[in-house]
Amino acid sequence: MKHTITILAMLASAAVCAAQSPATKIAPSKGWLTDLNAGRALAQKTGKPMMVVFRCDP
Amino acid sequence: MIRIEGADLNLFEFDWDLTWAAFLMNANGKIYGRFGGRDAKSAESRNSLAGLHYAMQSALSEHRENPTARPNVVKKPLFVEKVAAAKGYRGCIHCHQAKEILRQQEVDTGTWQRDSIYTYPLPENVGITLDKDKGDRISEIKPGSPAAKVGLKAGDIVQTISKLSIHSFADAQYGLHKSPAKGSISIAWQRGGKTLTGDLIVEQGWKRTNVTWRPSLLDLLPTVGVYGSDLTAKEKQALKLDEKRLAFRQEAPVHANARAMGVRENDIILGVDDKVLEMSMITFLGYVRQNYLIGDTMTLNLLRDGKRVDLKTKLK
Repeated sequence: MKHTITILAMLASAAVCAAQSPATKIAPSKGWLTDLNAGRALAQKTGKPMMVVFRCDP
Repeated sequence: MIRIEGADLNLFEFDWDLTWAAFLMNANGKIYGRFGGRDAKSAESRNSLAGLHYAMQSALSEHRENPTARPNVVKKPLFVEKVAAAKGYRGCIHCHQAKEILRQQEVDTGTWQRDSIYTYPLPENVGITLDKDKGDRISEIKPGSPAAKVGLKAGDIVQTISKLSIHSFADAQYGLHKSPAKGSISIAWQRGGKTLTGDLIVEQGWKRTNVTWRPSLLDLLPTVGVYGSDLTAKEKQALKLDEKRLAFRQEAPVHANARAMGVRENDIILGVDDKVLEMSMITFLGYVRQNYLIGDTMTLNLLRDGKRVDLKTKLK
């Protein structure tokens, strides 16, 4: 079975942080998921590995 | 969107000074590998798309073997926002601030050690240069280094460092980060299809690297404030100074920190703490920030009107 990698963007963005409450999540875009738990659940369901990215975006 | 808050730092343990870092893992929290890492030169100098592709392929291979693997060690989750030292933080906590908060926690509990600022050492610190596009391949070994002494050669494939799997530069940095401050570091490598093992023998201080790029250390690194043009060979000769020796003329206006130390315009800066340094002015500024912290006592050595003057100061 061919695996692909589920991609999660964990964007530690000061600008976004400043504009949103801690619980607020940005909308997924361009194939990136932005909720770790949702990503893990999807990876569990599909059996695919994940690429989890932390990015500081000041 | 997930911020550093809410992420288990004991699972997502990486160099929090980075602006970008990736984990290749499965849903059970088994981490196959990391990607990212940097040096003082730039945020991108150690990364390439080919290197990322290579690390991802390695992770996929490992995943195919056991897609439901579990982490070897599971620690109690650690969330930065729950650390007592995070109390004063408002709004978004940046990744590097996680590092600052954990350091503050150590300071508050009396467990902080000065050498702990040297995190995620470069593979070059043990004599290994890795291929940028194939992060576990050795492209060069420094003669006389711990890697050379254990028998590693260019072309070898590093498999583990301190029993941690290596697929990338970031993995190597992590393995070295988790290695002891002195003594032996276990390493396994592949050559011609055979696995070889050995110990890298390291001395105290082997983790030291240029830390001046790290945002988490901005409040620890001093600004001496001296600045000026390097003397020419002729000018050094006139002052009976070796041609390679550090010697530069302080420019005006003199920075407030330098002024507070007693530095004046046209002083010839020779070095610190009676050390004979062979470097340029620019390198010297980095040297001070790499070797001293705010609060340290340092003596600036200089010439003023041809006479030696020593200015002792507590760095800020």
